[in-house]
Amino acid sequence: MNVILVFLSIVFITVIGYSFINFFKILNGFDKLLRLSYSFGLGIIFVSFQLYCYSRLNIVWTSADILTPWVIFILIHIIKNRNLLTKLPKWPRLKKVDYLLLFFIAFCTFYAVFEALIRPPVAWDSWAAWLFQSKMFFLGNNIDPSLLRHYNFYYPILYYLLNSFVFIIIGNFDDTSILLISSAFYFFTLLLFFGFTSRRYGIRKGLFFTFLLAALQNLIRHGGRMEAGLADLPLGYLAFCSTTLLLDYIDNKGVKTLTLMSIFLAGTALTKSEGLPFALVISAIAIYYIFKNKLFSHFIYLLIWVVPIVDWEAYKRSNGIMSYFSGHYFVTSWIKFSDSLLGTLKELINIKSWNLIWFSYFVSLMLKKSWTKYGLILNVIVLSQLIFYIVTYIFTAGNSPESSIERLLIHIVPIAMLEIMFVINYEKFNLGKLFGFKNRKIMKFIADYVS
Amino acid sequence: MNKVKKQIFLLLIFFWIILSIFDVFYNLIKFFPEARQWIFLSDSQKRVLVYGPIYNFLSFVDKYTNPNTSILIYSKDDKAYYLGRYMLYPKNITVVVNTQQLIKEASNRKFNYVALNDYSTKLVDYKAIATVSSGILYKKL
Repeated sequence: MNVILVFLSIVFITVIGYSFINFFKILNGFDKLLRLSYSFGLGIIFVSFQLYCYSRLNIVWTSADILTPWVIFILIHIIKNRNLLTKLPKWPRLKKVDYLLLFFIAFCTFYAVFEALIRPPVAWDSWAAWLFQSKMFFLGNNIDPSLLRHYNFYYPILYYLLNSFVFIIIGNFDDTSILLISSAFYFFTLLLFFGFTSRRYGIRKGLFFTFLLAALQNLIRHGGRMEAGLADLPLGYLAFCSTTLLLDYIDNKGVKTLTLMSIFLAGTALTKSEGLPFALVISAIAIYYIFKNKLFSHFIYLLIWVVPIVDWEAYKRSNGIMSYFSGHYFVTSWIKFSDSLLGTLKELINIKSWNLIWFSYFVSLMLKKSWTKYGLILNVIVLSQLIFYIVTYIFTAGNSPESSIERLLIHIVPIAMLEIMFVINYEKFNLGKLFGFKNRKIMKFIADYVS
Repeated sequence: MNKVKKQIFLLLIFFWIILSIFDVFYNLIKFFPEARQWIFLSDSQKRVLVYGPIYNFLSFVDKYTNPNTSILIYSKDDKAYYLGRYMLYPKNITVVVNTQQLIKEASNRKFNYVALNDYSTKLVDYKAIATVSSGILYKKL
């Protein structure tokens, strides 16, 4: 029963996001599938923010108080757009090979869902931190700063609040059913990747690279296997949402897209501490384009994301809650330096977890097209984040690649995949010249996918 | 030079595709034995498999203690503190790992219960109220 309720909660959260996007006519040029893939992210940001505001205003978290405003908003949206359900998108014409790819992707998703529901949370941090704090919020019916102080919890709170929201809907603390949320992040990451890439490069290429992403064993682990319940895949999904919206903003310079990106940046920075550098780098790139195109009036919309971050930090400070740096003070040594570099490198070449994505990514960096416009932007985001992690390992106590790099690479993997796809699309690959292929059928078959 | 880079890049993508297809089939093969291993177990059996024998002990403590109480737990299990606070919340727990600490903390009389995992001793001011193969639970007199 709880599994069904968690599933319905995911649907409800997505409908909230979708209604917002439609109501304010954001992402007008995007197809429904792509809008849907952003909707889940937007929904989780809104419901988490709602619980945070309620707690600050001393409003008790009851399911009636929480659901009523959203139900009213969704009803208004449906009344305004009565033909919403009749305008379903047409199923595209697919070939056998496309159905095969679709089957592979569907199986990976099914496998992640199955693995999520088959056992209770396994990963240490999943139950010791993420689900424990969610349980604390849910049973306490608010955010109690004295408990955060008592247990030294200073991490951003979006993911805890999302879990609490679902627990409120299902009415009890069920730590196995809640893992379906991790599978939802896996699914919506794939959906966004497919939606974004198929719009630009066609359905077959979209399906093909979505399949390569879906089959990454570490992504499946976070989507439902042993690492389900952690906040790394949520951060990866939200950072990917922000990145794709940044690319769209650069193309179309739409102020609504920029505003939406800013909302996603707030979500990114409030999911994990590692989200803050993402938000800063993406904002810096957006500022560059704002100045380059003299769109100074857009600047204020970009700053939206800063408001909740400043508020959360002020809240922590005023309540005497620790900051990240009080737990991870400055310390460095040559051993730490070499361990950080070698540990990260060791993970990047871990084929079992990552297949050949990191090999392909770093080789792609040597190709010319990797450093033009979109490729350059994607590389700046991926590499700055990777450098940030290595620098953190080198200079702070309590951090080492052995304990976390496998998880942290999840944050940047969809963006790295997009960069690889970008290079494949814009770099010229003459297979005949490169490999001396003469068989026309093989050439045509491969050219369909690669060149 | 650029040709070599392109060749390497395309070869990597090619092997990546092969390995991805292999991964899908590997997961497909793994799916059935995993399903058989987990699907017929009860929730507590699954949790013992995941968390180890400490799960049974903490369930026992949870069952025989009142809500909103403070419990002193003696256990040498690495998971005792974090799993204990997760399972027993909102009960307030303190975990000690050696017997000297146990005697010192228990003598403070600030705990409603004392739970000993794989260990047994007499505690002044506390009365044993329940036992299980992996431990004893005492209540403050």
